[in-house]
Amino acid sequence: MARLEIGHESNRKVLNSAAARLGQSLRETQDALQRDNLESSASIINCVGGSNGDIPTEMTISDVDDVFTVLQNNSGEYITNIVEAELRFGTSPIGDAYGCMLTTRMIPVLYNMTGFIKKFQYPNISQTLSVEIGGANNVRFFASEQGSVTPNASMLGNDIANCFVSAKEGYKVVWQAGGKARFIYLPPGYNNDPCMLRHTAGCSFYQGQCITNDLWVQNLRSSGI
Amino acid sequence: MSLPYSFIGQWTYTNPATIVSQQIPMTAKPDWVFVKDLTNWGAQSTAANPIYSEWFSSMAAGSYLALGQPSSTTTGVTTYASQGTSGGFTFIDQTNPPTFSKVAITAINGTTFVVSTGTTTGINVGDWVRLINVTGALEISGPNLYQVTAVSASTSITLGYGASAASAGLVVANGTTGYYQKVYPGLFLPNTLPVAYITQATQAVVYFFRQNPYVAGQLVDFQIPSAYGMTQLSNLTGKSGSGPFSSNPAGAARVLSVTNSATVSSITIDVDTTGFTAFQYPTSAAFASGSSPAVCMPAGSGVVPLSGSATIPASPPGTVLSDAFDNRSQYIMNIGTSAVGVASANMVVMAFKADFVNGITNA
Repeated sequence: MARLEIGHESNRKVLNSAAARLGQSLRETQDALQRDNLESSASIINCVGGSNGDIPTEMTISDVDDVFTVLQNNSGEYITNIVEAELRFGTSPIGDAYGCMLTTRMIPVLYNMTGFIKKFQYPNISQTLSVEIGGANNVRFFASEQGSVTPNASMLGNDIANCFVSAKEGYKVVWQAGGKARFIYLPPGYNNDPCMLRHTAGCSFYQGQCITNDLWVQNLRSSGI
Repeated sequence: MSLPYSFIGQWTYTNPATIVSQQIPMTAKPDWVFVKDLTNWGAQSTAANPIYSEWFSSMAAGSYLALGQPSSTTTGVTTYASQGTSGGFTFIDQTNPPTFSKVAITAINGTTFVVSTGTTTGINVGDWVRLINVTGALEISGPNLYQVTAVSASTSITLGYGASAASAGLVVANGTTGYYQKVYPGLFLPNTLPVAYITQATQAVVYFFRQNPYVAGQLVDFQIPSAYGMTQLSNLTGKSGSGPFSSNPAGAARVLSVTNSATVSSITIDVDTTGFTAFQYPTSAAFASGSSPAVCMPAGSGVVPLSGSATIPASPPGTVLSDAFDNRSQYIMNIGTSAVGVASANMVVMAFKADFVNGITNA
């Protein structure tokens, strides 16, 4: 983010700090809107392969394969290409994959899943994101603390994670021209400030989001978090 | 100089003969809200409690301060003050709604969808609840949200939309012990909804457990797991092939009409389901052994036809986004029945925001 060179020098550090925090807030808000959108309208598949006695169960490799099959049946295109095997100890190849966005609360479930390959076990991590935590067969998992969780929503009343598994171009974000992101700074004297005591800073953006094909985004629900 | 409150807004409402809580949409979280009775203010022959209620942001959610007036004014007694910790003001950010405690139930009738419970505090007609771990009726436990259509204080709540689906053909078992939990659903609309029942008809009728967000002309799709029977209705978007040899259905279903009454939530779609497998909920045991929900999801043309009809889509369509693009989440001030005023009274609400709220600690 560009540094601000406005106002009295003593205020610039504060303003630049505020701008950085607003930038973080803006991006997280954009993510939250997209998350809420997918949570609201993606079709739903419960994990049923686990053994915790709940519905949905905790995620297992059979559930990953089920959602993979659904997306394949629906002609969903892969997002990432195969990570080929290399002659490196402790690594395993990763197949062509769909992307799964989920809460960081799912990490213990994934790490306990048979067949899950942690990112550091990939043969090559040059084509990965920092939020990627691993893959299983044909799904790669990307975790965020902002990931979707529905409280008390399982059959037995436990929290469930909404794990959005998407094929290529399954959903999109639309930004209105001129409204992508704005940082709004007002010097002292605005907004009921006749004695010119206070600066204000804020940000705004316009954003629309939608699923482009209802067959290409699946909400794979898991308990055990 | 003093820094005044900024004025958020003013609203009015008239209480019905039996008071219910009011949901007041707001553009910001207020620091001060008051409600005043314009009908009974100063009416010496009318006992009215409260005629004035207020809440400050330093107070707990659900609490209130109130003034009531006695039926006759005697010397020195014109109003009396009261306060409470429930039934008052609750601020709700619908993008990050509050969670509520689960409440024990003793029985659910699978036909009438009357849920027997000793606690109905805070539940009003129109609220959404989730059923949890209902013994004997696990198939209706879990993520599904049900809308309350009647409340019998401290006795039961009725989930009338489920009862209407049962009248149409939905069969679920009677349940015994379990829990219900009040929930605020997300408000990205139109959204995915669990299906309660689907008829076998030339134009199938799809029933839901709560009011639905769909509009005539919209496209919808379904995901019906095998445990629910009518799998032929699944993933319609991928079923193409219009022409003399096309299968039924071809492509996503179009909504022909919508019903959202006090107890019926349904849509009629342009799919002939007479030859399909009957729709049926799995048994409690079958659901518990592993099943996904049967769902209806938006599949295109969310708010059209703008200029078409129920059966002929607008051309060109006005909006062709596929799903929940309409974010109706907002700030709400819920005014509970202890603060909302008396029956049939005209009420005014005013809300303000302070420039700052400081707690002063004396050394």
